[in-house]
Amino acid sequence: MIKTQGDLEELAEIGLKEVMGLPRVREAEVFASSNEVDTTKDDLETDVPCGVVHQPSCMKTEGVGVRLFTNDGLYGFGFESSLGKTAVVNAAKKALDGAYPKPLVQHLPNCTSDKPKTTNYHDLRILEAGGTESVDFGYRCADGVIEVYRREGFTAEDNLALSGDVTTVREGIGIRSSRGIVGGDTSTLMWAYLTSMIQKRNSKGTGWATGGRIDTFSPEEAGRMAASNAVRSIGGQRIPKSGKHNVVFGPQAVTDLVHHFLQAVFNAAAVGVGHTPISGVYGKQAISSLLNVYDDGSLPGLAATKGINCEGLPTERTDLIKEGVLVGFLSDQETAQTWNGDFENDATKMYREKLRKMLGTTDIPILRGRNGFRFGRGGGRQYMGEPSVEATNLFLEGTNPIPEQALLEAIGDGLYIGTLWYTYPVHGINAGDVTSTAIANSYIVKGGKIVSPLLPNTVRIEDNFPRMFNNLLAVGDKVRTALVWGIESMVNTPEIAIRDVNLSDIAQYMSASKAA
Amino acid sequence: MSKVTGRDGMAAQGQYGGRIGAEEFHSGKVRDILIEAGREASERALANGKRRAERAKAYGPLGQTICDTKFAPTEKVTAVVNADYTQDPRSTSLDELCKRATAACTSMLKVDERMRRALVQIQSGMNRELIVASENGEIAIDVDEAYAKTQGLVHVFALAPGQKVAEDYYDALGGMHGLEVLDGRNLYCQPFERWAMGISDQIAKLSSAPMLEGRFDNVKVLTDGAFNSLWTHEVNGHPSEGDRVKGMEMGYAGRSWFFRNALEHWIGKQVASPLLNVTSRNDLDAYGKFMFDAEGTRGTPVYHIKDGKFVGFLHSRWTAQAMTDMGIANQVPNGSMRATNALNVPYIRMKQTGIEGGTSSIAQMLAMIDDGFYLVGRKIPSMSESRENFQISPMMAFRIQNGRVGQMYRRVSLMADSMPYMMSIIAIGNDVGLHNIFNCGKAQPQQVMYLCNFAPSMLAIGNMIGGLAKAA
Repeated sequence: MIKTQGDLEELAEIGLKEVMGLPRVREAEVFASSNEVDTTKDDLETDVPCGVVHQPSCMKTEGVGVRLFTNDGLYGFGFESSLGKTAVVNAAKKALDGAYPKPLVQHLPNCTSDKPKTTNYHDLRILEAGGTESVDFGYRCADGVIEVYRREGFTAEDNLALSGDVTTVREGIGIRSSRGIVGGDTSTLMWAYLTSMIQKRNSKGTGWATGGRIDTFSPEEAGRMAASNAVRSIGGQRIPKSGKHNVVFGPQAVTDLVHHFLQAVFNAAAVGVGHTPISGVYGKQAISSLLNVYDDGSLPGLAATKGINCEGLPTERTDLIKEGVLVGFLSDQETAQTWNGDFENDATKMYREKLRKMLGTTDIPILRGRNGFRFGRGGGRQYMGEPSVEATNLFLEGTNPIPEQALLEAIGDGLYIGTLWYTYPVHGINAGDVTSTAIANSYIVKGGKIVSPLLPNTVRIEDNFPRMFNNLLAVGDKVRTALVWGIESMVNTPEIAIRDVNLSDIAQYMSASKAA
Repeated sequence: MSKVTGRDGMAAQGQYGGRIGAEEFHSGKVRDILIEAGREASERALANGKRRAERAKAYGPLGQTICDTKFAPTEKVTAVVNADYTQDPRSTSLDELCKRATAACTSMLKVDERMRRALVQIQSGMNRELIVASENGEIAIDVDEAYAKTQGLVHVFALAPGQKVAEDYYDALGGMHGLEVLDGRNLYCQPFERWAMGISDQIAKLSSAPMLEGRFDNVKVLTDGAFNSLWTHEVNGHPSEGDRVKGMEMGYAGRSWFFRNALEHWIGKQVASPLLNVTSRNDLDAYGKFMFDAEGTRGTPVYHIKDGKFVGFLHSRWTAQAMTDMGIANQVPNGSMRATNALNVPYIRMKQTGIEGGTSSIAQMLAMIDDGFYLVGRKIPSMSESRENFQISPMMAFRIQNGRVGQMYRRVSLMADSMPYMMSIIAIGNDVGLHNIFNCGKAQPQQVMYLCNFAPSMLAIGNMIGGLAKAA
């Protein structure tokens, strides 16, 4: 079980007093965290030996991270993988040993009178859950899959398969700083991501579920979704030819595009160094006017919600894109300090001069910096790292949303792509070129109606992100939550229809030849 | 990390891992922590086994394949392997490293006026893994293996006058040694600073190059060793991982185009030109060098492709046994089960995987190209789910006409279906080079593994994709 928030806050409090008593320390922050990540891996195949749940595991990490500034203005960071006063002091000594000039930042985050909007949102049942419960989640996924296949009349000879993971995360943090930051947080979140196949029919489906509380999380539903999508994918066809096609992207596909491209447009740290596919558009049209985008880490009941960020500040809503116009940015406190012009030196002058060019304006917006987190790529809130800019619950919504059937009618002939894979900026993020493959939950559309499944793994997207997101045909009205591998934030998005997406028909040899 | 195979109903596994801090380590709490980890792992293993047995009954005919977790045998071993270094990472001052990184960064920016940003990250450390495992009530594995690792990473941005799209590139220089890696004991045989400035110079020049327009299908493409190290990593190495073959990675990392199921696979069949030989080993002086994997199995070399035929997988004890139980002969563990840290669950990971050298020189291969491209360096890959198709960008590309190297381009990538591309290989170079990969990701939670891929230059037929074509 993780340490209580009370224990972590008490340690941060005691630790801060010790650190502030060390020579050379001008100001300091102590961040204590305790995390457990339970992962249960599913492996079910009806044609070969299997175990249903393969290796249920738990990874526990707890420790302290200390950030500080010295009397002569140097910045340092150190951590220790223990909880205790001695660990805090040792972390601080490491920070002092390695302290270095950081001209863009002059102080630690200031405190605020804002109070967290969301408190006590964690689920005690998950906090107290042990290994047995997490093993159960994995089996419940399989139960959902078997239920569907039995109902649809499939047999073992159809070579049914299930693979994927269920992850349960328990996170606790306590933070104190000499600038008056006082905070603690406890969160519980779960997600399942599954793929199921009917191998004899060459069909595949994905399913997922997310939740912050046991009663909002259904592993069975993720299993049912994966199996149902596999059933729906039987009889998949190839696209008639490579070229431009209108496409409706489903929530998971949109999530992949958001994480690998769109986020860079409003990530202040990325924009500040030019690491973005669309630049020079602050206050101007960045993408289609059919979309609004915002982030809100304070909403109760969602899996990616946090009461405070990892710098001790309450989470809140940040509007990012309004009717396609770039209006805001996600930021941590360091980036906010530099953007906001809290102080001036040669380094900040140079940074802000370049930033004006990147933004395409002389008026640099003031940032509130409420998105500094220390996420562990699927493994809790980590004391080992310094905060960086992260989204939480990202929302995409249509400015003029239409029903799902109308989306298909809007594209006429084209594709519905449900699940994308290996979506990367293949020529660098600046260029914005997109490549990705459609691997499941995808269909061929003719005359505004789905006419057949798309054969999995036969289509590669080769297009350009700014072009795609400036050529939206329509946005759906049903918002669903989706996730991608290794990223804690979750995207809540409707389906999005895009005109003339460049697609290649690939891997024809896999259909033509069956080995052995 | 504690891994237990228990039996309550059926034999099944459970695992538990955690970080042990200096305070616990020095105050004698390690034993208690390990006992607690064993208890937690056992709880999971027993719960797993009980539920497995229940589902085997409840699922009826759909559960007939549910069975005990079984492992292929491996030799008993007791071994101590020492780290190889001359400059101990533990005695380095952070201040010294910071000054070195800052100086490198400053020098990189001064290389060329087109340079816009340089990021330098230097890390050096020591790892020691103690692996103890019991079987049938006896200690069967007792391994104490230590290694040092040092790396210098650079990320550079350059923008030429008149260009709208900056050129950015990142790479790392590293080795399984102490700080002497930064002074020249590395794959490039040069100090980190000189290598970093060379990268800056290349990228600065590249930023002035035009972007390739259009698409060129079925052209001859000469790819250099650095590009091919990434290519073989993605197209040959990953689909050779035994857990993908078993379908374990369908959810995240994908399956294998070499193996669909026990009745549909390419084992023993031609998947490439007879010129292609791909192997994995763990003894080269580069990332991925080790003696024993996380199960205490000695790392042994294995061929994946021999004379163009697919012949072998990377295996753990479990995947080797599982494939044997599927009726595939000659599957043995080859020491491929590794984790990034002791607290992580081990997965099947590449070790040092690559293409063996051929007999052609670059000059000979260039002379074979009437109208094609020469791809140099490696950038970003995108693979289809079972690795049956790939799109990979090089650092830069050159147009080749009548055997002559012409215009340099940036923002290009090579796309092809994997097997047809491998079958089209015309020549393989005699210039094998080792290239470290420092960011291979797998697993949930994600683990980033350091390994090495090696490859010579290669001439084959593929499709060149230009960047601007996508924006049209």
